[in-house]
Amino acid sequence: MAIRELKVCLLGDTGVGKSSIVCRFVQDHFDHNISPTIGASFLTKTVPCGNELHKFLIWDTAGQERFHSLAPMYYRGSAAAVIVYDITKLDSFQTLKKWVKELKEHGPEDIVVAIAGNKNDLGDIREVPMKEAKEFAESIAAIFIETSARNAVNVEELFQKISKQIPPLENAEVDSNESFKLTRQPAPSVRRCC
Amino acid sequence: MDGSSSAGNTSSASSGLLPTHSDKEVGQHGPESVSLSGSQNDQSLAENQQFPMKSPAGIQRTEEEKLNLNKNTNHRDPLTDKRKPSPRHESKLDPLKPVLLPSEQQLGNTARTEKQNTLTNNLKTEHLSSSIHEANPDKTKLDPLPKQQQKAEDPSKGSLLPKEAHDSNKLKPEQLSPTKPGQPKPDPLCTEQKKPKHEHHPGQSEEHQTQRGLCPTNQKRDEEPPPSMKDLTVLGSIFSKQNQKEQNQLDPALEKFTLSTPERPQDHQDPPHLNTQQTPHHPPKHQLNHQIHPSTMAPPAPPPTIEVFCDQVWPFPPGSSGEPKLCGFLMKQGGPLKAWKQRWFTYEENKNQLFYYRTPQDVTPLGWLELSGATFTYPLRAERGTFHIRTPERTFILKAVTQELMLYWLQQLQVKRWQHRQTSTCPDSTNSSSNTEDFLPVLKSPLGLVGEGAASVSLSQTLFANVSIKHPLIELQNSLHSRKRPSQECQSVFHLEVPHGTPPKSGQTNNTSTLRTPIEPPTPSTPPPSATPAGQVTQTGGRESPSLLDSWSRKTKIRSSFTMPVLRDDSASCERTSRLQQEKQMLMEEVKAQKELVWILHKALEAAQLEKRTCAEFLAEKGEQERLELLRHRERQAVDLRGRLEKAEAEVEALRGSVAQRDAQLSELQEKVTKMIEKNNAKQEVIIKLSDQVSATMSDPRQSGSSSSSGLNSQTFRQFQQEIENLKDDIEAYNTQNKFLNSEIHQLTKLWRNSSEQEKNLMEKCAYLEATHCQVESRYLGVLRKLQETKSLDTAQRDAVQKLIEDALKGELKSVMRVNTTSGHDEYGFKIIPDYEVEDMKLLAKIQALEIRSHNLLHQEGVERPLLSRWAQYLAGRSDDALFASPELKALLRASVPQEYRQRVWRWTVRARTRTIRERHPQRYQQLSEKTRKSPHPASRQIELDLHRTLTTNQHFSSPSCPALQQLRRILLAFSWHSPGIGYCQGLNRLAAIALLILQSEEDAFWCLVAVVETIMPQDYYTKNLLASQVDQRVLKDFLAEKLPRLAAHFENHNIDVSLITFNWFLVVFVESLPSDILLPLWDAFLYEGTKVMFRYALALFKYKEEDFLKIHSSVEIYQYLRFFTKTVTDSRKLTNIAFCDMNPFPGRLIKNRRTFHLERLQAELRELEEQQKEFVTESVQRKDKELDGMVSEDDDDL
Ligand SMILES: Nc1nc2c(ncn2[C@@H]2O[C@H](COP(=O)(O)OP(=O)(O)O)[C@@H](O)[C@H]2O)c(=O)[nH]1
Ligand SMILES: [Mg+2]
Repeated sequence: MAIRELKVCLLGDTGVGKSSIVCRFVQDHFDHNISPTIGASFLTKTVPCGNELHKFLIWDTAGQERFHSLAPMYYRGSAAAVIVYDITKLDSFQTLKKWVKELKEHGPEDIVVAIAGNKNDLGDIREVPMKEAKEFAESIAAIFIETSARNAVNVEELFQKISKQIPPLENAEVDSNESFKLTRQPAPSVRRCC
Repeated sequence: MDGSSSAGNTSSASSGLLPTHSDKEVGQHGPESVSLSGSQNDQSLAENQQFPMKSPAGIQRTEEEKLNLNKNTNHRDPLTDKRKPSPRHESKLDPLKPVLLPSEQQLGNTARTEKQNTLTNNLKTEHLSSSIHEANPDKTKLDPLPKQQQKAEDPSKGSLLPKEAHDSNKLKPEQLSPTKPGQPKPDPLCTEQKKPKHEHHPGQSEEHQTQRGLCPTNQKRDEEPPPSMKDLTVLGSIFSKQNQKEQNQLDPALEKFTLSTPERPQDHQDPPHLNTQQTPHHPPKHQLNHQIHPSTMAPPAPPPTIEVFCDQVWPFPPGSSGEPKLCGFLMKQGGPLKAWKQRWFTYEENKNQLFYYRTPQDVTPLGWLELSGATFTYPLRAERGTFHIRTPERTFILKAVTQELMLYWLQQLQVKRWQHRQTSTCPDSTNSSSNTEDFLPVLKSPLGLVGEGAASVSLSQTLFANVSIKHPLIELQNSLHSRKRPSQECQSVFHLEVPHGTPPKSGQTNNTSTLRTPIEPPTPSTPPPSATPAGQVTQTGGRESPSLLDSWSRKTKIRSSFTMPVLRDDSASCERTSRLQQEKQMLMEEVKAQKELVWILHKALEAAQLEKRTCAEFLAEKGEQERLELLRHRERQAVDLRGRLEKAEAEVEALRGSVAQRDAQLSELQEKVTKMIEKNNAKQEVIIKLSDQVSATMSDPRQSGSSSSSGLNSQTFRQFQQEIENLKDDIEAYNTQNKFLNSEIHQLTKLWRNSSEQEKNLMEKCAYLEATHCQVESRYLGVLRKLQETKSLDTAQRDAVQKLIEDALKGELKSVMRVNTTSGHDEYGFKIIPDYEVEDMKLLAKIQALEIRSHNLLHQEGVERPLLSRWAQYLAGRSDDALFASPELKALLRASVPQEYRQRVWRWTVRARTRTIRERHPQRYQQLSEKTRKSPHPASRQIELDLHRTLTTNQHFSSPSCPALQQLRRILLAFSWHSPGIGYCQGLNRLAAIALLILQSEEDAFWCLVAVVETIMPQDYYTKNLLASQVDQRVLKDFLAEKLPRLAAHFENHNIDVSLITFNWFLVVFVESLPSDILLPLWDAFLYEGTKVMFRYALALFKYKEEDFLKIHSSVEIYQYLRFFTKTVTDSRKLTNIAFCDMNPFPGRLIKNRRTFHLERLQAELRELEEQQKEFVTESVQRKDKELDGMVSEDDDDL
């Protein structure tokens, strides 16, 4: 089986559970006091997909706003971006919208966007209705799923969905049409920085 | 002290032992066996104590002896046998012997005993002493004989009996006997020396002998009275055992001995002697005798022989051979009632423990004290003799009978503790027991109260008075044991019981009986009546088990019956002398009277003759006339005579008158004289008083004023004097205690130094071993890891490898952390083995931990110690504020700050960096804290979010309740107010946490954060967009290309952007990227030198692992490796070296230039980006509109 390396970056407000999701996905482990990500962290995990092996190179970014300026380093060249929000924090959903926008503006053209509403184990204090989020995701043709890193709900599924969305190598061009297209690609020359 | 070899010692020993040899004529005196009996008891006791089961050899021996005795019909043999070995052994084994010299003991003892036993009057003591002394000669006499016999027998018998058996039977009695103070031990040498003299000077005076007995030190060899043939033979027999055979053959005395044996049989028949052995009665008093008190005599029984005995019987450690066994009775305070209980204490050399038993015979100790960790002291304000032994577990309060005994015990315990230390740990180090002036002089063992001999010196307690309540089980065991003891042994213990005259049933009894027999003096001299010393009775009585008591009472009874005739004898002779003297007196008077009569008769005769002559004259005259004439003439003559007579009478009268007058005058004068004397006395008293006062006032100046009016003050004055006396006593006591404590301190210090040195050595050794172990283990794990990755393994092998790995990981905590900390955290609370997220990294993590540990351990000696001393030197005498920047300090900081100085150095650095701010706002932190309480900063939400996720692997931050978290919150909140431009940036929590960990002070940590963010880091490092941070990443990339071009190219080839990883390092100054043993040294230098250190370290890290990177050719793997490789750096020294040496030159200017360059470019890019964004926004809006239009149009189309 051929191994395909897929760069995935996680974006989203701080504290929504990006690192927790990665940790759950890669190590099947949950830590309440997981150290906040600073800059970014890098993890890999290989999952089978069809007749391919997808090796996810996961870049988990820092959520604080001032780290946004670093984000381009991580989502550049990414095959997929997981934008995570916290269903118990409306703010985080607003931030998500910002990220979608930024990806539209500066992200790779064919990037697969997945929206993950995390902490769905805390449904009783939910602030973001699933319907609203789902509709938003549909509006941008993004994958939508509600997860719980804590209870290991839908984390695997999230990445499986991404795997499926990734166009096969041969007909990447064809598949890319089906996926969400960034309306505008940022000029690569501008990004000489990181 | 005596030498250790018997041969060498004989001469030296002789001096000490000599007195024992002052022998008297054989059998002159009654039973001298006081000491013997006591000793035998002691012996048996000791035996019991030491070997509950009597050694079969011993029994055998006794049997054999019996046989021998029967053959020879010499009853003395056993005794001599017993006695003979003792001297030799003593000299050989007992180094303390000289200490025990009787004279000293006597003196010491007498003083004490006089005080103690006021009951015993002088007469008694005299008797006792004399009897004891006299007893000695008997013994000595006896000794030789048995010895010879032994000699003769031993070789012939084939020495079936172990030497010990002999000794056990024979040696002990002497030494153990408590009642034998001055009892001399037969010294082989002495006897030898004396032997010829005996022959030459027979019949020496008794006095000499007694003197010798009293003052053993005094060597009087010449005065030995040659006792008998037996004695001679005995003397001959005293050679060392090795020589015995030849001696026997050569010794003519042997023959004599055999010949002489027949003489003795009658001894057997004398029962009283056997029984009376315990009571010495002996007549001749010596002037010195009064000094010896019965109780004092007890001590002399020298423990050494016992020691010898023990050594021979037991496989004792060689170390013990030289000294007497340390054992004896002490009172022990214990139980809930804090009652004093008498306990038998025995020091056990091998374990360095002091065991205590209820009685010396007990087998199971009630408990023990571990001496190796014990300290000794004694309180002044307690009962005399009380001392404390403090072990880590508890304090034992013990009491010796006297203060001296206590001191002796303490000293001995010290010595033992030290010796054990020496022997057990470093046997070659010499015991330099320095007895400086400040220490107590080495005390001599108060004989009889310490040592095996003391076993019999019970303190007159009823048998069960000291039963341990706490140890009922042990008591039971002990009592069972004593009951279980074979009857034979019991017999051996109480052999005295055997009624004399009955045919001996066991060898033992036979022996004893024979032993005793010689003691009896064949012809009782006329000694003054002897009395058993009260002290002796008490001494022997208390400790004995009932049967023993029985025997005792029986003995005493028999003795009394025996002694009676002797008493009568004595008194009769006395009376006779007095009667004769009276008679003589009378006769003298008679003679005198007769003489007077003769004189009167002479006078009468003279007168008669004169008359007769005149008558004849008268008759011869012829005529009447002539006769008349003659008559007249006679009458005239008569008248004349009468007149003369009258005159003479008158004269006499006158003279008488004058005499009377003179008498009157004389009496008058005498009266005057007495008056004068009285007056004189009175004056002298006054003078004394005055002089006393003068001296008092001299010594006490305050009194000078009042002393003049001494009459009134004399009372108070005396009180003062009394007080002074008391105080002097106190001072004396304190002095003694002080000396003792000095020695104790000295000893403890020595012990401590010793053990700390050992500890150091061991630690070094341990560290080295651990290091090698760690290396080996890490290599092993490395191999496992490689194997794991190898693809060529089949499944079975794979499983095996997997299993090995699992096992290795299981043992993880134990192996790496056992020495350092049990918690698995280092001194700052960091985990020693970092948690790696990925399972397969655990192995690696452990390998690294092991390697780090081995590096650290190996560097401890060579690097860390010198560094520590360098720091100590640097910081010595400097106050924190006095630290100033210098190349020296810089170098030291680069070498890292030892843990013990880190806080101080960091504090200084931080304060130096923030001085201006702090001076401007002295109460800055307090004000900020106040502010945070009142108005929450917008950043507080993010702070709260991150707070509990700060340094979660560190102990001090691991739990939400940690106080450090509260401090951290306040620091971060204060900082967000202090620096509104930054507020809170994720990552600052880590900086503050590290600062808090090291500085241990909230405010210092705050200022540290300020120092890092505002003074060390470039501007805008943590502000929006983290501009300066991004600039630094570009600068780093430049340096990487410059310093590590190969690696930079390699990264370039694989499209690796290291800043994805390194950004993190710089933003939080490597916190959580590096293990703490690298991180903190980095910070040491970073706080002082600034950001350059970060570049140095970052490049050094890449350099350190350059080869590893170059081997990886997949970008993903490179990224993976980048993510954790910093934690795989195990050799922090090497890293430091690379950072500060290999990376040179590293001019600070260069960094600055690069920063400005990249900053400008980045700002330009950002501006461009912003413009593009704006453009995009407007564009997208337009497009949206268009799309909408399109949709509409589509709709329109549909429409
Ligand atoms: N209840 C719940 N808490 C979660 C879940 N996922 C993450 N968290 C918590 O949310 C906090 C932030 O998680 P983290 O992964 O660091 O968020 P990040 O900043 O987006 O990486 C942590 O305390 C997590 O324990 C979840 O599924 N359920
Ligand atoms: Mg995170």
